[in-house]
Amino acid sequence: MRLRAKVSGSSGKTRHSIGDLVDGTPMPVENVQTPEWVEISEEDGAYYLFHLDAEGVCFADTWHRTLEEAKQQAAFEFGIEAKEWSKA
Amino acid sequence: MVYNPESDGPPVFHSGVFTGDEGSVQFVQTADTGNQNAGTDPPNRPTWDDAKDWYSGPQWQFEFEAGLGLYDSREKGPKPADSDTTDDVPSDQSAGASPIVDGISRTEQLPVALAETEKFLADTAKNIAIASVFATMGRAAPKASTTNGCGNIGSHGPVSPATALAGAEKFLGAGYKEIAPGIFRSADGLRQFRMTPRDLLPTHGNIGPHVHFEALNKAGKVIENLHLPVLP
Repeated sequence: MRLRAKVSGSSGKTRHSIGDLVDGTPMPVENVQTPEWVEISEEDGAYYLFHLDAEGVCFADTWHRTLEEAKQQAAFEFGIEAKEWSKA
Repeated sequence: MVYNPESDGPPVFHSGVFTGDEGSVQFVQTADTGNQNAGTDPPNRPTWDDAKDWYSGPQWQFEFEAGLGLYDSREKGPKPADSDTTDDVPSDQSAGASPIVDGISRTEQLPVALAETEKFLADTAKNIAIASVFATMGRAAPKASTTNGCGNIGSHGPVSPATALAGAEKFLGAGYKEIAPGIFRSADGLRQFRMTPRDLLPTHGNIGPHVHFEALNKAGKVIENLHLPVLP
């Protein structure tokens, strides 16, 4: 099961980054861009919210127990409404 | 009664914690300037930016506490590594810059009438007002930041999975649980570490082997997601 939605903007409520460990503590090094698309994929009994660039390449993801939680995360971060999802 | 910072210590006219979707804002009023907002909480203002606007003005001190705790404020960027020179005042406190003391940014310079109080705080580097608030929360006050930006952030290179795991144990603290294979969550539910086979042998995109250090808000939404590259 895969659902995809176009991203029109970010709420700024979630910060994604590439990081490093400094003295055992995670530290952000570089912020990750806002995706062009997001995709929800069911894998191993859970749901991933993938962040995709314009070419459809994944560069970030979040993990969720249910499809509804994945959609709520997308709404939280990008304001995506239920009607905006389509089958990928 | 005349306030004397030497004998009375830093003043606290109003203090509290505002909690929103993104975390919480620790605020302390340091001057009785007749702020019309004193004693009230910001209604329907769920974000840091909203709360900051509400508590705008030189008489307020803030600390934004959210997620991984990696940011001095939403504007300041990643927090540098802790330094031993905690008694130093940040080097960028030139006119027009937002000074940071004890991890707290001020949006404006204090008025001249409050200069003595400000000097007292800077000289002692012990913001008793803030420390007392943190003490009531059972926590130590944050150390002063000595630089802005990333500071010395290390090699940037991938780390071994064992190093990542050691960092995860420190990050999650005692009492964490594995809520799904490779998904570990702290006892308070606000921190999460992910290291699944799909992360280590990435099956999606071009991220490469990595693990995740994440922070969640009280509603379970991910508010920070740090991807840490690991050696294959």
